[in-house]
Amino acid sequence: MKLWILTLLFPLLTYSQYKNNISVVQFSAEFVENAQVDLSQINDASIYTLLLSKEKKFFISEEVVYLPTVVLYHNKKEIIRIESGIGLTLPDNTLNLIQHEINKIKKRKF
Amino acid sequence: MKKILYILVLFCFSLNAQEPEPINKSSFFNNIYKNFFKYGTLYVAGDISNSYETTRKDYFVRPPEDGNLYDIPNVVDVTEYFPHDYRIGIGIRRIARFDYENKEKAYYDGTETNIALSAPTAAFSGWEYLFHYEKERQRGEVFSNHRYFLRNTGKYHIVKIESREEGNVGFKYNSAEIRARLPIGKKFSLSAGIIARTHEQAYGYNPVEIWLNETIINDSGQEVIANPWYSLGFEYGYSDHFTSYTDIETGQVSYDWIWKDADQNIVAYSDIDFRNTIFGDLMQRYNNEQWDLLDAFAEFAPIVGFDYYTYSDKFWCHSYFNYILPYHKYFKGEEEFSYLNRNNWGKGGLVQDYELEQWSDFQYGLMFGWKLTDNLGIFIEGEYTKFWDSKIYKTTFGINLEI
Repeated sequence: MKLWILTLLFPLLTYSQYKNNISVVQFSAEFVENAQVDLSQINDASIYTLLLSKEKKFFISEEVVYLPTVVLYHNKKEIIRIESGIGLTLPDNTLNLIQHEINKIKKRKF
Repeated sequence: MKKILYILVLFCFSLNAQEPEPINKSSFFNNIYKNFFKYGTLYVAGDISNSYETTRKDYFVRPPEDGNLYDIPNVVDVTEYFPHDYRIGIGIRRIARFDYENKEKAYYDGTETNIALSAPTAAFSGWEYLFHYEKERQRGEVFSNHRYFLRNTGKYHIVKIESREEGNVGFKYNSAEIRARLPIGKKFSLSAGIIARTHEQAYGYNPVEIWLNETIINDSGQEVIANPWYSLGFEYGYSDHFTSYTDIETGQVSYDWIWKDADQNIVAYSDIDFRNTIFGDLMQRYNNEQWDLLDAFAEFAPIVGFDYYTYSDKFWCHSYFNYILPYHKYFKGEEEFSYLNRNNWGKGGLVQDYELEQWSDFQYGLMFGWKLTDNLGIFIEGEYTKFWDSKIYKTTFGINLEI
């Protein structure tokens, strides 16, 4: 029984959850804090902010080049990536672009 | 039922009211649209199809108009022909599909089945609903069906109310439940709460069996049968008449009872003939009349469950389990005829010193798919439900190999 429960919980506890279902991840760092967008305005998605100083392995695995970068995932698949570029500034319509893609995903569910 | 619905709806709006204010404040009506109607679909749909036809026709012979029984008869086609079948329905729905479910058609017509309607949790947080009503005709008979489903799912709660009627099979079911939910990680959740359900059938209660088994004490102090089986015929206007039969060739005489209906038409030529032909229908008629005298039953009980859901293009698993604990309390219908007494009926009625017997109900579902390679995949989908005496299960499994 214990083995069964551990088997069931194993994938819950070990696998990175930030790409599950509909997730918006902001890859950032302390020195570009002012350039970040406020992800709390996003509806119907899990939101995460990962800092380079704490989660470097994810920056490498996701091949993040610019800071900040906002990525929308749906069931582990990358849907859209918005990068700040060399200006370290995200486009003004970043949240709108992300929300638009989320709405499209949601609409397909119904 | 209405009171329960009222309380549940109030509860859900109260839960929604506790959510933090959105940063972009929108109007009250915009919120109603966004939270309740957005992504919903209103539909009116129907279908028309051929009615049932037998592969071979049925015929009957009738004497000619001016002839007698032994003239060449007229052969008459008595095959039952039905008008075309149809179904017309109206509905509004907002049910999210899980990622492993595909939209069955390019449109909604009210025939869709979704896992979300039976799984405890949803593919989408917030309000989901299905209000569908339809009329259908099958083999010339017109039925009404409906399915009303309303659920609000949040991180820590599940509230659901449902009403179903399938007129062609006489199925009616209502339920309402409220549960607290405990997410463990993003994929697994436990839930516990209370569920109220109705059922129409008086399980274990067989009126005609009880009636046939009734006994009385006669004047001699002996226990005798109170209702001989044939007396059921008298209750419905049939009468028996003692008759003699004579074999013309041998002169042998035998005796039996012929049976006549209320119009004095002979319907059976012996007791055994009556029992083998008419009596079966009378038993059914008697049972139906007695069952119709009973109100529907409604009970509530605690419910617990879990839900596990993970999805990726290569692998998905959705497993859920609902367990209704054996602490049922009836609040509608006569408890004497309820499921608590399903095994307490005996000769002439309830057995002496009977005790109410609790029971457990459960439902388990599993949707599993695994693409082992780009060309090879396996899948298992199934659900098993045990509610009262009903056991409903459906399973699909297989392997797909792309060539």
